[in-house]
Formats: sequence, structure tokens, C-alpha cells
Amino acid sequence: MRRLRLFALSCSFLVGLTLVPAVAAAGGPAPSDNCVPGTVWEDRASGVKYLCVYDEAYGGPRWVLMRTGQEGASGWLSRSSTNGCLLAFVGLSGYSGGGADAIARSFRWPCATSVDRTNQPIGELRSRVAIQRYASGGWSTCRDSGFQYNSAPATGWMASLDMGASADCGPGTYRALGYGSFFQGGAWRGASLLTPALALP
Amino acid sequence: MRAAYFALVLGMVGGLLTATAVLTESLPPTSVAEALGLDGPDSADLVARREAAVASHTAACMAARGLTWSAPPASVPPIPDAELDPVAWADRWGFGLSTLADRPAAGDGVDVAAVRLGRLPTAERDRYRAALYGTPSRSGCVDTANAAVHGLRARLLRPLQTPLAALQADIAADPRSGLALATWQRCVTGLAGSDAADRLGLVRTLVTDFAARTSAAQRSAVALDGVRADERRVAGTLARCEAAYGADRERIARPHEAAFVAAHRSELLAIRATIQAAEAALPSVESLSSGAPGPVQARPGP
Repeated sequence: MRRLRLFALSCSFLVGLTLVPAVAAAGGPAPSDNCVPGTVWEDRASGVKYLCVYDEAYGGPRWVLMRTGQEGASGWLSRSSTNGCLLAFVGLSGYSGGGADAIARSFRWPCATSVDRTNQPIGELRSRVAIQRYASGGWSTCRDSGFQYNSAPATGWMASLDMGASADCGPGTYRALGYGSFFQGGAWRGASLLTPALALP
Repeated sequence: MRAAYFALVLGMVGGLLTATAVLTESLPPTSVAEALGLDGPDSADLVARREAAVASHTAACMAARGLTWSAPPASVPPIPDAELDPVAWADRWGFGLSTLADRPAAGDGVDVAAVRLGRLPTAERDRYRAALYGTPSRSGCVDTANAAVHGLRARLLRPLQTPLAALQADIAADPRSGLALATWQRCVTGLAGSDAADRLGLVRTLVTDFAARTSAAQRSAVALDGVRADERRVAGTLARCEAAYGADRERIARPHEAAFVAAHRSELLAIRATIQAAEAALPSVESLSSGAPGPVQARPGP
């Protein structure tokens, strides 16, 4: 029972905004952390590229946003032995156009290394990303993926948005609003994040 | 006499203001966002009705698959001060890392529908989950609902992607774009660890750095306060440089964008009308079924 109580989950959350190719909004499994350091992985739905790195503190390889042309960061926004932790990553990029990724990854307590990753049942891990444009008086949503739920047991789930080769809502200042959460103890536990604002196209 | 004179002046000013308002209203749009009607903030009511529409579409899709499902609209936990402009937000919240580090995770509250779904017998639960979230061979009702509601703009704007890309290329090719970037690079020179060669890479580097510093400082309130102050300073400076760059880009883009809008005015206005009609038809939150959330009553599938 104690073991079960300690089976708290955490959610690492990743958002990236970058130049992309074709589809509108999509959800799918996040890339597996069992990657070969040095490998590049591209989310074909959004065009966001990731680099596999070996992270000693994490205890194994993991994906990070590729540096060139994209920006982002991660940090634990919440750590709880009862409800788990939330590691947030936010990124923004776009030489032209824009696309966005949101990846939610689930972990069990102590949410420290790759061995803490754990599968969430179908429909109990979700992510969402919206691209917003600043206009006089406030922010308006240009594109929204809606909630993307895992359709298979998964440790990570991804929501992607693609605006093609140009920003859909015209030149201006854009940001991505990302969200990720997991279902645990009868409630969704997650958080929203913003990328820094960026002038596009 | 003085009162009559005052009334005359008041009338003239009022008339002038009215005329200005009418003329402004009737001026043709000069930016893509203006032409599309996307140049103002989202209203809370519109956001709520979009979520209500997703819930309604999902329930209808499930019913079409022989499953009764009801769930209240889901919503994203709010970001603090999300309505602030980029500079004001950065001044208050930095990059949103150390400043949000000790805030409780924004939960979405209890989800009765998901709880009830989890308590169904395995076979029944699997049917519901497959219908809601999809299988490798068939989209789920949640995806279908998202596509219907949130995918509208993507569908409508798709024909404009090629001309919008050409507009972007025109703006990028404007010689003043290089000058704007050089001004931005000078603006960020003072930021610690800055690598202004890559505008996007710099932002990523700074944010990554503060994420690591936040992580390291979490056990010390004093250390965390120090990181917060530094994060606000750096994020504020960066936001000001970005705002100035954005203003430069806007000035450069204006004539290109005006020409684009003039050339595609009828298409843009047609898209705007379709978006507005679709949004006007969104259901209200109150109109949703107030039945018990979750798998209300399972029936055999088709």
C-alpha cells in the first residue's frame, strides 16, 4: 500500500514552437527516451526537431530541443511525493511560419531519473498546445490543438500544431501556450506554460 | 451666451468624433489579422463556448457509435496574468520558471467522468476508451470533436498558406529586416551568456539556464529569491528588445502586408465571415446536458 501511495506520477511537459511542414493538429506518442545520443528526431507533424543527449543526472539518454532555430527550457514546476512532479519545458522558435509541440511525460515518485518513467493507461495522459497572437488589447488564439489524449498506454504523449511555412494569423508577435497533465487519484494534475513572445514570421 | 457657445463647441467635437469613428470603421483592413477579424483578444465567453462545443461534439459522436457519454467541458488551467503584454508579463513573471516554482500545480479538479469510466468492467471500459480516444485504425470522438471545433481555422486558412509564405519571403527580403536584426543584437548584448548570433537560440539558452538555476535553488528561499530577481531582469530586458524588434518588423511588414490584403481581400473577408458565423453558432455552456458525467448508460455498439 505504501508502495502504491508512493506511486505518484509526474508529468514532464515540453512545448516547442518552430517552422513546420503540413498537417493541422495531431496527437501521438512522444519519442521514446531509449534513444541513441547524437540522434536527431523530427516531429513530422510540427517540424520541431529534437536531439538525443546522454544526461548523467537523468540516468540515461533523453531528448532535448535542438538548439539552432528553436528555443526552449525545462524546469520542475511542482514536486510532490503525493501527487508527483511537473517538469516544464517551454520553447519558441520559427525562422518562418510556426508550429508547436507539447509533450507530456509521466513519471512516478521521486520523478528524478529515466527509471521513474511509468505508463499511463489509455486516456489518462493528455497534452495541448495553442498558438496565440498579440494584438492591441490582448492575446487571441490563432491555432489550438485541443486536448490530445493518449490512445495507447504511454509514458509520453504529444500534441502538435502546424501553421505551414508562414504564420496563419499574419505577421505579429506570437507565443505558445502549452499544457500537460496526467490523471491520478481521480483528478487531472498538470499545469500550463507560456513560451516567451516572439515576432513572427 | 457662454452656454450656447459651449454647446456649439461640444456639438462640433461630438460630430468630429462620430465622423472619425465611422470612417475608421469603414476603412479597409490593412493587416492579415485585421482582415481575418483576429486582431482582438479572445473573450472568456468565446473560449468557454469552444470548450462546450468540443464536449457537445464528443457526446454526439459517442452516441453515433452507440455509447452514451456526457462530460463537462474541459479547460486549461489559467496562466497567471496571461492577459498581460509580453513586457509586463516578463517584468512580473520572468520566464515563468523560478517565479512559479513554489506555486501548487494547477490541477483541473476531480474528473467524475474519468473516474466512472475507470470503474467500468474491463471490456466495457475498453470500448469506451477506444471510441473516445481512438485506435490505430479509427479516430476517437475527442479527436473528431477537436477537428470540428479547433480545426476550423486551419481548414479555412489552408488555401492561403502559399501566398502567406510569399508574403513572409517578401518581408524577409526587405533590406530593413537585416537592420532590425542588428538593432536587436545590440539590444541583447548586455545579457549574461548571450549568443546573439541566433535570435531564437539565445532565448532558448537563457530560459534553459534559468530552468537549471531554479532547479538548483529550490531548497533555499534566499537563493530562489535571487534567481527570481535575476530572471525578471533578464526576461524583462529580452522582452523589451523583442518588442522593439517586433515594432521594427511591423513597420517593415506594413506595406507588404497592405499589398497582400488588397490582393486577397475577398478571400480574407470570406474566411472571416465563415469563422464568425461558426463562432456565433457555438453552443452556450448552459445548453449542455446536465446529466451525470461519464458513461451514463452503456448500450451495445453498432
